[in-house]
Amino acid sequence: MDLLQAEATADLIDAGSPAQRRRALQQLERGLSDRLAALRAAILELEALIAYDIDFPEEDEGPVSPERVRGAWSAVRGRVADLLRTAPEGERLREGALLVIAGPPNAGKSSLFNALLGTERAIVTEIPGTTRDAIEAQAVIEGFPFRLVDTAGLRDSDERVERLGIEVSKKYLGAADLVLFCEEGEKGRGTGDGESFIAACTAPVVRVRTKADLLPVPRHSSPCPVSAVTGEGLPELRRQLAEVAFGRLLALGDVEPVVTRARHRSALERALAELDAFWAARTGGVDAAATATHLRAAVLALDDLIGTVTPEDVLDRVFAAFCVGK
Amino acid sequence: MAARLGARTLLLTSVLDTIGQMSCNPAIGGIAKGTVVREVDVLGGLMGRAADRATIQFRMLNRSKGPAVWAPRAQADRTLYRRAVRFLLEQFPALELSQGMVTNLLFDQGDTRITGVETGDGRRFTARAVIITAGTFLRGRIHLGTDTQIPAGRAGDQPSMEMAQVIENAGLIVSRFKTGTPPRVDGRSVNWSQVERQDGDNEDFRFSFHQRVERPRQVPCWITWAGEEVKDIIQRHLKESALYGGAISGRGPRYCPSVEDKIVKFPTAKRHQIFLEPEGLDTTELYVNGLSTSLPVAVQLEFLHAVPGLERARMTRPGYAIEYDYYPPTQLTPWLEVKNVEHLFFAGQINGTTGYEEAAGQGVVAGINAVRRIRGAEPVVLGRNDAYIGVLVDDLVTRGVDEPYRLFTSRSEFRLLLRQDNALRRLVPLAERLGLLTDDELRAAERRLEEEESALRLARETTITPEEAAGPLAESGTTLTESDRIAVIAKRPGVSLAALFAAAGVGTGAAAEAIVAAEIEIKYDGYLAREREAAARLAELAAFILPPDLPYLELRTLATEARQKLDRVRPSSLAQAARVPGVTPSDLHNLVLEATRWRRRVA
Repeated sequence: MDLLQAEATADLIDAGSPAQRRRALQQLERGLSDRLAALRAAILELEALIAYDIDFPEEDEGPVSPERVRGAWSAVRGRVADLLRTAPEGERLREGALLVIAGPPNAGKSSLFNALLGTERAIVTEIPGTTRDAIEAQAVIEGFPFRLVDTAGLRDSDERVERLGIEVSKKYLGAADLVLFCEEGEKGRGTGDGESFIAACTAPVVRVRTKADLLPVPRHSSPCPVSAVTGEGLPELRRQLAEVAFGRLLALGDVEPVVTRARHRSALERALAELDAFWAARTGGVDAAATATHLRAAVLALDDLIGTVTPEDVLDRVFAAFCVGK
Repeated sequence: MAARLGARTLLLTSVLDTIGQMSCNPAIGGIAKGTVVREVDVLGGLMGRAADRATIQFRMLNRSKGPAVWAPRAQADRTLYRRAVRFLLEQFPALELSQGMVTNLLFDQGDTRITGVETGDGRRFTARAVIITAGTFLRGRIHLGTDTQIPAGRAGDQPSMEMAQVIENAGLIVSRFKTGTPPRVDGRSVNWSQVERQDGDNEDFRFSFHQRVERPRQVPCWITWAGEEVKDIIQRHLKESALYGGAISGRGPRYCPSVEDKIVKFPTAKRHQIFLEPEGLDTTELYVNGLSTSLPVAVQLEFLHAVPGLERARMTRPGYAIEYDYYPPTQLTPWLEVKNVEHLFFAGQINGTTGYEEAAGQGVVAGINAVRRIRGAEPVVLGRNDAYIGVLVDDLVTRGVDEPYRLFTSRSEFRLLLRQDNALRRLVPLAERLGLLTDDELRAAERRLEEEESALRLARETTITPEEAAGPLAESGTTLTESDRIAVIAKRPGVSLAALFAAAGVGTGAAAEAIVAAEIEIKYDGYLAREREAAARLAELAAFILPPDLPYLELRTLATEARQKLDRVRPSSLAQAARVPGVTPSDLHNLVLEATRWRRRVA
């Protein structure tokens, strides 16, 4: 069992949602290990092209063409970058997406909070600690893990953003993966405060018009009408929340591997930086032997995730790809 | 090496006249190998000095790829090389030469230590340490096609049968490898108009840092190609090849394949390059490098005649494959002593390597350590970041071999640190500590290193103006807008330090080689720093010593595969353990804990 599988085992035990379980299983079955091994192999193959030129200068095939090196580099760089792009949602998947509910007072935030929880039978817990500036609860929405945060029932309002007439936990807002902005019926439409709050949010904002049972509006109007009482609009909202928080994972399906930890992300970032440094050095006229140090460093970065590199690995690729010797 | 250290040393060989005989191609050096020759030279070995006396063509390979990977390679006159080796050996007062085929090894009671050897003619030599360098002679068997098999150490020499049996009886695991040579032809039968001339470099290079001898006359090599016709002939006769007809069981190398191998494994390659290399100055015989084969003699002649320029060639000697015993080198310590027979050392092809240079490097390590062992001194082990010899020996004893082992720059994780130009800098301190160099040699080496230092200092201190720099910068396509230090400008790719010195009117008084070495230090500054960092990390792992009697098989927290592999290799440090194939990072992590726990328990 490699380190990634060990991590996946822990994730599987902790999994509270179907998506987490599926992802942990996929990693346990070497989904990520195999992908990293393939990337490592591709970088070694690129290094083999450089090594071939250095170690076998007088062979039948002559020097490796610059196009071949460029092609190999840009392909593997693209693949590392692709995998790295799964990191935000992958890490979110392990932690649960932080969904912060915001809106003017009495906009129906608490009802919506309970509606999103209730149907999924999540347990509401008060965050331990002293400030008690918000209530956090875990919920599974469309199979994905979420952590819902509401300011419901707070006595102490110091931590809230009230300058704009919007209630929200300031503390959570900065860390939010997405914000659910509630507006009450027609009232919310066009309030300047709401618009400037939304504009100031760094996380994506999903807007809903609450209490749809009181002020009926056409079903497909925007923002999406929901009713915590009748349940109207809730299925659409759940789909939208999952789409906003986990759209990339939804698009990838369960086959493509995903990186789920900061440890994975930083190793991939290092590998990507070394690949870029390799190309910069190469196009800057630096000698092949020196540029190759970047590729070794990139491989080492991946090795921190999966295993050890040996020079033999590079030679295996040279011999597999070239006819050498006289 | 032993004689150099003052030990009374006997060189025993089956035919004295073949000391220094090059069994394979007539060349010394090449990629990584050329660096080894220089390392051997710094440590007092003779290969470079002999090669300098026999060089009939010199080329610096990889000239176009930046100085870090420049690789000196010399065509050698076989006769001159052999004579030079014999001459140089006879300079050592402590060295005796004797002719005789060793047929028996003598051990103490319990067979745990070697005490001497016996020759076929009944002589008995006692010795406190024995180094065996048997080449391809142990149960050597030559193959020409599937029918002809000749017991031989190489063409014309008797194999060593009895000693092979004695070593096996001593409990060592034996395995077989094969290697091959190409046919040779009479130069008078070559159509020179059909082949391309390849001259050597004009460069006045010498392998040896210590001696600067006159070079013999320089001659060209010749290039031609094996094309479709050769391919057809070989394909038609493939079943008759010893390799493909099933007569050979030993595994051959991937990088020096027979022409049969090339054609079978890379069927799309349209043609294969062939070098016609002169065997010597006083002969017209040529070594047909590139056509190594185990096909029958008649087929060899047929395909030779299909090579442009060789249509009417007379074959002077056929190529052949040779199979021989080697002992998987994981049975050795990192100083090349057999683990379960004290004071018995192996060096060269007996350890599964190939190449003159690889053999010489091991000879240095075995020679130094045989003397140290009998004198009760700590063994000396070269690090992977010290020398290619260190890489070579570590690979052998840690990873073992599954094909004849040859060095490449890719074998090293420190390609930029292990260069041919800085062998002195890397190894002089060790050579001095061990007493491997004479006072004269040492003084010359230190002078050369000081020249390099002063060139570096001058480069860092001297300013060059844009006008002065224009010439040296022209080729790099860059310019200088304001005056700057020479060391800064020399960092640019394609800009020569020597040219900058000349343009700035700076006289360094340093040898050209010292300036090149300084230039490389400047150019690769940042990259060298990275490699030195990596080397320091490796040193940390190497500092974690593993107890030699650690009961690996009982370490439950390690994977079964790791337990078995570690038990076999018995690494001396965590760094070595990390390179044992099949040992994962999590095994290493647990190994640290287990070793610490075990140490505390036995203490």
